[in-house]
Amino acid sequence: MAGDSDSKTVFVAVGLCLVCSMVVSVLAVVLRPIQAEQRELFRKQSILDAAGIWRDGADANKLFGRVREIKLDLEDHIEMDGDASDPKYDRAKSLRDEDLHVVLEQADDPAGLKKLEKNVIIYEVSNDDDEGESQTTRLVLPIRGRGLWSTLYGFIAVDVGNGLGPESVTVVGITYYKHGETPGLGGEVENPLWKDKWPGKKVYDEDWKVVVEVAKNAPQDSPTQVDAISGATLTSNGVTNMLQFWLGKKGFGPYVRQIADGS
Amino acid sequence: MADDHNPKKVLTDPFINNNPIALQILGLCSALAVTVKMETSIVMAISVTLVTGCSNAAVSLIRAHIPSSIRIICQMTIIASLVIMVDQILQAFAPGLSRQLSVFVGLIITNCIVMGRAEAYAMKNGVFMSFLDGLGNGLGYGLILVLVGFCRELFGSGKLFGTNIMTPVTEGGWYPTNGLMLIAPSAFFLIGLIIWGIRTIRPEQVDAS
Repeated sequence: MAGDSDSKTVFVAVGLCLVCSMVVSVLAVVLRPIQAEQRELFRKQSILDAAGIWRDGADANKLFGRVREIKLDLEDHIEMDGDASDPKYDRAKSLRDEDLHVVLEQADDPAGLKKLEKNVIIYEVSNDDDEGESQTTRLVLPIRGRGLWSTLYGFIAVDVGNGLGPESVTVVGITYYKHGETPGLGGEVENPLWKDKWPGKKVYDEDWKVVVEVAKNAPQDSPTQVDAISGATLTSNGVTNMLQFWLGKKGFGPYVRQIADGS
Repeated sequence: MADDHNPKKVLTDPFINNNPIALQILGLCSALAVTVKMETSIVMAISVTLVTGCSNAAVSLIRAHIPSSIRIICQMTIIASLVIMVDQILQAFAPGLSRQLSVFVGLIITNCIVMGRAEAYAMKNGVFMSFLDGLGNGLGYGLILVLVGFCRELFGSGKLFGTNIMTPVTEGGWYPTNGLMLIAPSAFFLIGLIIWGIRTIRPEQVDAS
């Protein structure tokens, strides 16, 4: 191998890089649709999981037939018509386009979002054991907010009593599908045992103030508090903050209120 | 081991006699990180075996043409491409496992075993023998991973492959789970015990002191 000329060195380097990049690119392009499908499936699974109807091994697409997409205007808190594939419902695009998001004041922004999209898709899950008019409406709401290291993305599902007032609103479940918290500490937001502490917690007091929160050493029979994750105070606070925001006045609060007020 | 051309020996030597983790003490980082559960241990073992096998074969194939001044970066390019391929395939066909393994699949690139074998063996030997050597070392690494994963999942959460073997107290059973097993240092203890065990049976592996 001695006496390699410079030209040969360059030739081998360029050739090897070309071959490797071709192989990797072809594979990435071929697999992209499958990966996108898998991610979409996982997002659906998270929605179903939050709504408490996901079972391991079930068919997410089939179960998703029970879910109705609601296109919501977050400024006027009304349902919109139109196509759900409209770019304005794409969060990533909305947050890049100045016309499609609002910049939040720091005082209004406990979850550390900085920008809030104007349009969002939420989900309503029908109870299949109910015939006709149901007493409650089950909503799955997308939430996100800062934890310790990362922004956590997830869903919270709530049952809203139709026309039954603020205290009828209870948590059904919570899931996080994307985050970068420390595995074993903040990452425990994914732990089923912790998620099991959520169902049944009251979301609002009688004045529509968000009272559900994560608190240290909260007893399991507390009506509004969920026990914090040990060793993950900042992630736990992040969860509380994002619930404050998303269930509050700037988030989905007014829409939930319309249902609970029976209007 | 250097000039051994017996295929069977090249393949099986790294299991016990020349185990990359136990004797060469390479690739410990990922061995600590992914062995909390059997499932992730096995997927990681398969991934590393494929990468070492294929990278050894590829490096050996073009070994006569690699200029020695850029040989390390050439090996790196091949290894990195293979690792990206494994990562992409996992994301497409085993997304749940891919999420659990997170960065550690990508970090196979930095696993000393892969580059160590490319540099030490594949640069000097034929394609088929290099492939066997890569497979053998990957499997030797995998063997330790699975052993450690078995102990950690069984004693740490009372389960194997996610099914209850010893029902933990938290789920209404009798077994008080050993939290130490779920954190990385326990893998150090286990690997230490394995090395002790191997060197007791094979005293020739004990470092001269």
